[in-house]
Amino acid sequence: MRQTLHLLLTILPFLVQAQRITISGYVEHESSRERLVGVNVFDESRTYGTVTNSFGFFSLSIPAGTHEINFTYMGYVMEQRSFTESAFVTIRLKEIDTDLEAVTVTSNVRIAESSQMSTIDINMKQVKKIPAIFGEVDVLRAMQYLPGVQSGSEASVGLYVRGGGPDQNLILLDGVPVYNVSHLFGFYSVFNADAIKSATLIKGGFPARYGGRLSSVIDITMKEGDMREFHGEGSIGLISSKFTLEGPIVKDQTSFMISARRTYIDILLQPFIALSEPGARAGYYFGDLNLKVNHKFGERDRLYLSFFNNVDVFYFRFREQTPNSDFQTRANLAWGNRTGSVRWNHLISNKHFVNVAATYTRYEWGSRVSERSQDFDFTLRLRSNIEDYGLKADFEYIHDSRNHVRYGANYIRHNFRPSSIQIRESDNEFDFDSLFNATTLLISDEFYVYAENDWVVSSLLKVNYGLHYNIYRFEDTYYSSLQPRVSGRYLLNDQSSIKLSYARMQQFLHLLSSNNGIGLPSDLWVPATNVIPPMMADQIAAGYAYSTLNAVYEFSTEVYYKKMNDLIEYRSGSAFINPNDWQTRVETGGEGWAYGWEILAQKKSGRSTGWIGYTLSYNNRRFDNLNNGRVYPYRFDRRHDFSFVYTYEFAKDFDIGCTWVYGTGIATNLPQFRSLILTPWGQSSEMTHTGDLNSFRFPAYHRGDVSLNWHINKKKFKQTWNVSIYNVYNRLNTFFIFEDRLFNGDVVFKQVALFPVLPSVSYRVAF
Amino acid sequence: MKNLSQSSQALPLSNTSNNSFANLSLKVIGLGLIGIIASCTQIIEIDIPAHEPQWVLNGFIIADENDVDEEKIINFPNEFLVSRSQSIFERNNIEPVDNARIFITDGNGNSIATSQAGSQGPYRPLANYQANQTYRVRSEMPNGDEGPSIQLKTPKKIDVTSSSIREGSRQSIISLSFNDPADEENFYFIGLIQEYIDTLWNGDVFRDFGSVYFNILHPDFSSYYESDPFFPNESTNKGVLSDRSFNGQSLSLEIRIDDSWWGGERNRGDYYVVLVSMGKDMHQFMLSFYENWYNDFGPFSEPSPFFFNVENGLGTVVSGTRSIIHIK
Repeated sequence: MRQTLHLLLTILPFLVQAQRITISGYVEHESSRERLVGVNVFDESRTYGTVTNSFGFFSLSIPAGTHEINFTYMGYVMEQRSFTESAFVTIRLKEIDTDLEAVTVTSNVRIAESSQMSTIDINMKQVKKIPAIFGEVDVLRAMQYLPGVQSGSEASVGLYVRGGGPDQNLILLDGVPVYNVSHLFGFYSVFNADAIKSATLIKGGFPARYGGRLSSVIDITMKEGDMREFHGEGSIGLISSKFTLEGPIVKDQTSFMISARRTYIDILLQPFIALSEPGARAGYYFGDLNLKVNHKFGERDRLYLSFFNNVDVFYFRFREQTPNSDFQTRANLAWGNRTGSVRWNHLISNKHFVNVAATYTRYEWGSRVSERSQDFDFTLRLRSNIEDYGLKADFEYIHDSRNHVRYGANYIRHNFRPSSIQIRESDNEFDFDSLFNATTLLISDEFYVYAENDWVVSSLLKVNYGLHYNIYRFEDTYYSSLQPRVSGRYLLNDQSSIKLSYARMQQFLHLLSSNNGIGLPSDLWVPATNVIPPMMADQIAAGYAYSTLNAVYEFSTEVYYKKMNDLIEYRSGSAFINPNDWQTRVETGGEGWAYGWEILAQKKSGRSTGWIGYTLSYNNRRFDNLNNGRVYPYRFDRRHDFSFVYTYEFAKDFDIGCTWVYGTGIATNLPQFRSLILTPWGQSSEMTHTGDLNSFRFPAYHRGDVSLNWHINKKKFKQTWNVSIYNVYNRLNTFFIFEDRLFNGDVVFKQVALFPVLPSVSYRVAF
Repeated sequence: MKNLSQSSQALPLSNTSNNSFANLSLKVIGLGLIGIIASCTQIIEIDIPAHEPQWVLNGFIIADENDVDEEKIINFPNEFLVSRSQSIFERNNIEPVDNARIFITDGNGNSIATSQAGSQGPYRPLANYQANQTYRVRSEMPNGDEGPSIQLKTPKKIDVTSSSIREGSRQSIISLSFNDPADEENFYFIGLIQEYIDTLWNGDVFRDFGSVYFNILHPDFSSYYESDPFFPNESTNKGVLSDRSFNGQSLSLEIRIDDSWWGGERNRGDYYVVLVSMGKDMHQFMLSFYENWYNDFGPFSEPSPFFFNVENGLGTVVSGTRSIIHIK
């Protein structure tokens, strides 16, 4: 690793170094001591600058002399410090109170200056003002309003980024992948907005430190917990309630954050079910729990413990007791994720930072059906899961203000158990694993190393370049690839730049799922094997970015082209498949093409904020054995996608939010004609034909939502009443279309919409 | 006691009241849900391009490697079917076309057979197809129009090297070995039939052949049926074996038969393994046939286009080479 670093550092055209000083340290929230990610650190002339990393650390190497260094962050008061010699400092930024109107509001790094493209930081405060279904704020749903990101079915949180499927998104929670992000078949994501500190979406130009997925990286960080005071917030909505509590365990040294959420429709309906069917209980609920502890060992060491668990449960219980018998039956279907990580930050020197992490993630779904009486006992259990154990080390070396080097390594062991079936009957137990050779544990290993450098070539040109090399093993099959990554910007003037990027990505995991966009819990993750190779994608993008000097307004536009190879597609369309023969039931060697044009115009601060996004895109697939080998549109090929998001604080205690989205209808198959066929057993039979794959379109999708927040501040308590109206003009957007025959024999097509206008109210209190 | 008595009298009334309330609430909720769903369902206009009716030709060209009795051919009879397609909006049933003509020539253009169907029946050209040979099928429609046509090649001969059976009280196992040609990706249709012998009321002996359910534990074997998640190793009476993992090599298979599946009312005779080497077109046809056959075209179904391979019309004519192995 040292040799690699040495090579990197020597081959680059470094300028002859004059005597320099190094300013390094951490940037924190003034009161909570929570570290701030993405704070812009720069000198007054804007010649030298950097950004705090995901743990709030920065290091700035500048020529010796007196420098006024500015620390700016969106929503915080700018801090300015003077330095004449090297120093290690902790900067504390004060959050802007809405009453402080005179304070200069400045932004974090401006889009035009960053070499990174296709990247959007999600403002969680703004997310909470956006209208939401039943008032349940969702960070993934907010991402669907961004250009290049499309939603799947109505109200689904599935993300289709630049032509990729939901399985092609690397979704990280505190650095740990989360495999299934859906609650309630995708209506909600598993991420509780109250527990989230920051979220970043990367659609292209991936830095070398990321790998393993083709289409996007969604990096979500949980709140760390206030180091000095206890805070809490809770909310009650129509279908769910949640609470979050954070505070110090040892003041200024150890803090915690805990957040929990649960729906309660099942509890509310229970009395009615019990009365209508005595002895019966049935229902559905979901819940999740976020927990984080962080401890400072000093200025140079910090330890983070993160834990996340979520579950969705359908259940049914019935018991009938008579003097002579006692019969009971139970059934449930449950699925959920469990993730955990231990991360240790250490400052090796004022220029050298390391984060070492041990990670664990597991997604499991299972079902259990049992019937029991005095003389009969039957239990059927189904289980499927994927489980990862990971170790990684990420280093950052800030050589000088022109070179910010990152390098590291990551090892992941994937354990797949696509199916486990067990039947227990009376006193006899049959294990189908052994009897029928059902799939047992499949193990694969993934290892990668990377190195990248953020290189300031000149005052106008900045380039991020790197290499990502990975090795993958499944049984006796090995795959490896070298993936170059490069992105850069060229400043046209102080406010605008042009950008270019290229990235190659490889993915070793496949998701076998239904093609209809419904996130079923039974969707299976399976490994690349000797028969099913890993998927590969090459993406190139070019763009233009403009931001005002105070970064209040931003405009960016990008064009991209992505070619995907070795895609797979499940042939028969069912998500509920036999895991034993999945390799013979998928089509391999698929090609995909996605290209388009994106526009994003934002107003990022002030009483009114929001954005307008537009995407023109084309998204096609081709498999030798599908659609008779012809190219066909991907189901979520949307030619036009438009979104409008606006929030306005029209009084001190009131703000409103509204959104409007429009998208070309998704592609679908419909019966087109009929013919006779000859069956394999030699009989003639009439069959309906659909024509080419995905050759029809749903009607265009559009919807408007509005919300009103009323804030009541009393002493230490901040209360908020939220009224939201989803689908305010009651647009009946197509969820599915089916063929029907009228009484006179005419064939017609009918559509079913999922949600009409849905008003909701929720109450939130924070202290 | 008075209070208790009052309570005990009041309780049923209260329960009745609660029940009424609950039932009423459930009805209101139910009606509300129905109302929401009904209000969210509407007939829509969809611009489906008008379908121009076309001639349709379907059929099989199967080269039988050994002389087989016709009653053993449960699948893939050497037949053709002619019809005409119609739009989804048409109300009438589709009838076979029974006065077209089918012409079959070999690779050199020599006529092999000509066939004209009887009423409503399939076309059965009297041709003796050979393995690894090219054939051209041409059709002429009743109005004199040139109908669909296709040229195709039968796969190579299947080189079966050994076969045997081990019979147990509840399970029998057939062992079968054959060589897979190395130069192309091959697909094998595997079926199992058995002879049944019945004695009729008048003492006559009646012989019949029927499909038998079996299991093949090989990673490249899959049933044509939709898998049952609860019984992932379900039996099948037909399936496909891809040579992905044994291309160009000899393969030994074990076909497991659960004898307890059948009752003992009929006397069972010998087994016959039906092994058909399928051309790529035939494999495509089988996949698309089963995908569409079990498709209800419901809102969440994912139909794929039916595999058509003929020119100048619609339809599927596929070729295979069949070996029926008598297991003694």
